Amino acid sequence: MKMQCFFKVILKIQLTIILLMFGWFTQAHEEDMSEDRIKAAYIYNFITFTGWPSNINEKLNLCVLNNDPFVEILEELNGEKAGTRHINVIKKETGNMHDCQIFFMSHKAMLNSTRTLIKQFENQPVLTVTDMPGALDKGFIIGLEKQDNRVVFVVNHAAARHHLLTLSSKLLRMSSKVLHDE
Amino acid sequence: MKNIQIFLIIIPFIYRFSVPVNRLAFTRLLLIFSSTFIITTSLYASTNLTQFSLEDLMTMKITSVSKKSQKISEAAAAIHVITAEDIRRSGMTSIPELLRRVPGLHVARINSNSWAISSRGFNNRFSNKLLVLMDGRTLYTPLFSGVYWDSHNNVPLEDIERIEVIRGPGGSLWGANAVNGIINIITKHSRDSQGGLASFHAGNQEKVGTLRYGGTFTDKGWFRTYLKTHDGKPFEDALGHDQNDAWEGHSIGFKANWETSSKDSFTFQGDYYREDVEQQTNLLNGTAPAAVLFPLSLPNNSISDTAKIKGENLLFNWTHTLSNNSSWQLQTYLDRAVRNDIALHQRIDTFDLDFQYRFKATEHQELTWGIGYRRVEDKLNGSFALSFQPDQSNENLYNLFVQDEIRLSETLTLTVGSKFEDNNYTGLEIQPSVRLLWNLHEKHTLWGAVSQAVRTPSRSNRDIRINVTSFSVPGVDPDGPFGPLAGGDPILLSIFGDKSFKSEELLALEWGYRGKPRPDLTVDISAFYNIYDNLSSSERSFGVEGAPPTHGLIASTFMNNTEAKSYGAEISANWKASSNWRLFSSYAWLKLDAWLNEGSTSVNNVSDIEKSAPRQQFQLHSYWNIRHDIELDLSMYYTDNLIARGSAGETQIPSYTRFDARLAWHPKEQIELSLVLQNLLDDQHREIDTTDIIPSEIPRTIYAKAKILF
Repeated sequence: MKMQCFFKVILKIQLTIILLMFGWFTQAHEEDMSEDRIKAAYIYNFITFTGWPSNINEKLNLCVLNNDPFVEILEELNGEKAGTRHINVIKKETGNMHDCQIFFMSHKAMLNSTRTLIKQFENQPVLTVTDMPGALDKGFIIGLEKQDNRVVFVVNHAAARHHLLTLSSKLLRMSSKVLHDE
Repeated sequence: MKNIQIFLIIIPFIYRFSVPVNRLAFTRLLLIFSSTFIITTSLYASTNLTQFSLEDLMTMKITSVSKKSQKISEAAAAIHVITAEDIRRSGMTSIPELLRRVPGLHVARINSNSWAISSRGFNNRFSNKLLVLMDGRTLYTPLFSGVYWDSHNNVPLEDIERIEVIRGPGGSLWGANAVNGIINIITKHSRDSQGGLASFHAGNQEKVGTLRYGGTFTDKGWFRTYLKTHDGKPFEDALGHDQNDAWEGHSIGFKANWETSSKDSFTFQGDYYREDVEQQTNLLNGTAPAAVLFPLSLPNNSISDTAKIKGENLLFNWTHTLSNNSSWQLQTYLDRAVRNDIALHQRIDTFDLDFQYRFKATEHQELTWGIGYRRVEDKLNGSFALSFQPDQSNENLYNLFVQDEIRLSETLTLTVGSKFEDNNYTGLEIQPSVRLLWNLHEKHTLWGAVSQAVRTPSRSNRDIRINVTSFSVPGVDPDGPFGPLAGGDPILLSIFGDKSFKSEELLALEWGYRGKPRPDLTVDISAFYNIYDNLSSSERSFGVEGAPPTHGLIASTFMNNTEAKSYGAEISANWKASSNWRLFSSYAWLKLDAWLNEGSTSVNNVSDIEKSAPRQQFQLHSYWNIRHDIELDLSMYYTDNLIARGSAGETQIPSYTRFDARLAWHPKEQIELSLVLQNLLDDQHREIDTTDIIPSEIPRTIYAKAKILF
């Protein structure tokens, strides 16, 4: 009987919460970036399908330039678990790119010297991803592309190996284009 | 378009006037509705970025309104999905126990090896209004349209990708029996179970071992095979006596998936299992003709018996993609279920063939149609206590369904569909539904539905005879129904099926809200109003049976004289409190009223129905990653009492609260060690009353588990 009373109270509390949420919702800001959200979800998948050398620590640092409009969405991935490790989103200045396990740069970031930036990661175990056109030519490992109103991705497998990363066979299989060793 | 939505909301209020209901309860429900309605006028919807697979993403269209792809979460129905991660962290070791997690589902364990499970009321061991499927293969038995849960403990839980549970009717898509809910168990693609897995757990109640290995063949082919064995100890009664309900079983199985082109994918899978299930039945024991046995007093209490169960199945699926918007699939399966116990030797063979075609009819309409055929052959060798007439039957079922999903506007989707199913017993059954989905905002969705569903007669409803008990009377009124009998002659109490049994019918009105008010919070609310017609009743009659020597007969015959109405709501919320802590909670409230048609002589139906559902259920789960390699998971379940007010006064199963805890450690990525405690605060409680088998007390459980991937 006591329990029943308890649950009546719980129900009342729940109703109150629901009504309170009314006010709370109206304050929440609007988001309309579904294409970008799809891309961010891809990035999460890329992370789960990539193997890093065993000497990195338990956090996977996902780096993004601090002026990149993508920062906001990527921050939703902060703390998410990918395999056994947690993702840690870090906003970076262009010059200081150590500590990154993943680097994402969107086409909106507008940077002239992409190649120089990418050079910093040479032979480092860093998964570089972008949605800029011609991503692989610019030296990125994975590129996101728009095709028939859908987002697909291309992979430079050879580059991944140079970066000491192992990409799962599933990832390679699902990509619309894979570059192997020339 | 808003008018339609408002219309859907209003319908129940119209019905309200034709039903006497508890006013307070109704007000409560009204409050829930109205508050959600208010909220949703200002909301929007979104999704968790981590929930999509690569496959999902590749087929997802870019739109300004995140249509997140007509997936389960966008369906206009009360859906709950148990994910592989939920399964792993639940500490549960069988499918029926896992279902405790689903908001609003009532899972009552009868004893060590039997469960009664139902959605939105009508629960008992032979619950018959729930459709249960595994990879599209039906698990319920045509014998009583319910599920022998002990027969489906063969698949390793590690192989399950997810369990989708739909509360409410799904007859227009799924066909007969999907009256109060659908449970769809989906096993993993063999690509996702590559390599080896060994898992073993042992504790005070059971030992379970699983071995699995997955590999590849040809260029785009994957397979896995498994071997599972389990051994469950008996539970006890309230006085601590063994209840003879131990069970053990072994199973093997495989699944292969392959692709011959980017457009064609195939699945071939199968299982074989054997189970020895001990039970204590309440049935009359005897094999000789009734007339000979009657003068003797028959044993009719607590007969210990072992049911020998075995089964096998093979399933083949071919999915062909024509373009982004159109595809067809062909699925066929064979299933044999054998169950031999003291009362009945049964063998049921099922062949099923289904074809489905989906295409974009116009820019705003997606049309799906399908045809299906099923043949069920059974052989039921009964006993004096339980028999079927005829004892063999072949049933053919044909079905056709059409569903049209119409995008009325950017935010409104209307789904209209119906199933047309022809069966041997009641002929053509039509099960239409209309569903409206309203994406108020990117993060907030409202839906409403009106649907009709039927539960076609089972073999039991038509052909069964159960001799429940016998007794003799000292004297007989010569003018009464037992007139020809002399004092001391036996009287038999029996249950009969009836060939004129009709389909049980449901008209359901449902509403729901699903949303993500904050990035870390998802909320799901559903409410329903169900009107049942032609529900089963047991009409009582008296007479004299047999050539001399005759005996008296008190007969309960299945007819359709019960009606019922139910209403209720379910609320659940998932809150990601921090990066390493997640909470899931749900509350369900249900009111079920049943009554008999005028002139009915049925005895127990109304009270049986009313005690078949707890008024309230509540649960709270906490998933906490203490460190990156340690998980602590706590669960609490509250189930309200089951009260029946019958002629014999009030009987009840008291409410109970259950606490579970799981502590797991991953010393390495491939190793998981865990310790699980269930029913922490309670060393014994009863969950349900049954008449045919003797229920046990549900004990406290502890076990340790090791799982290794290699």
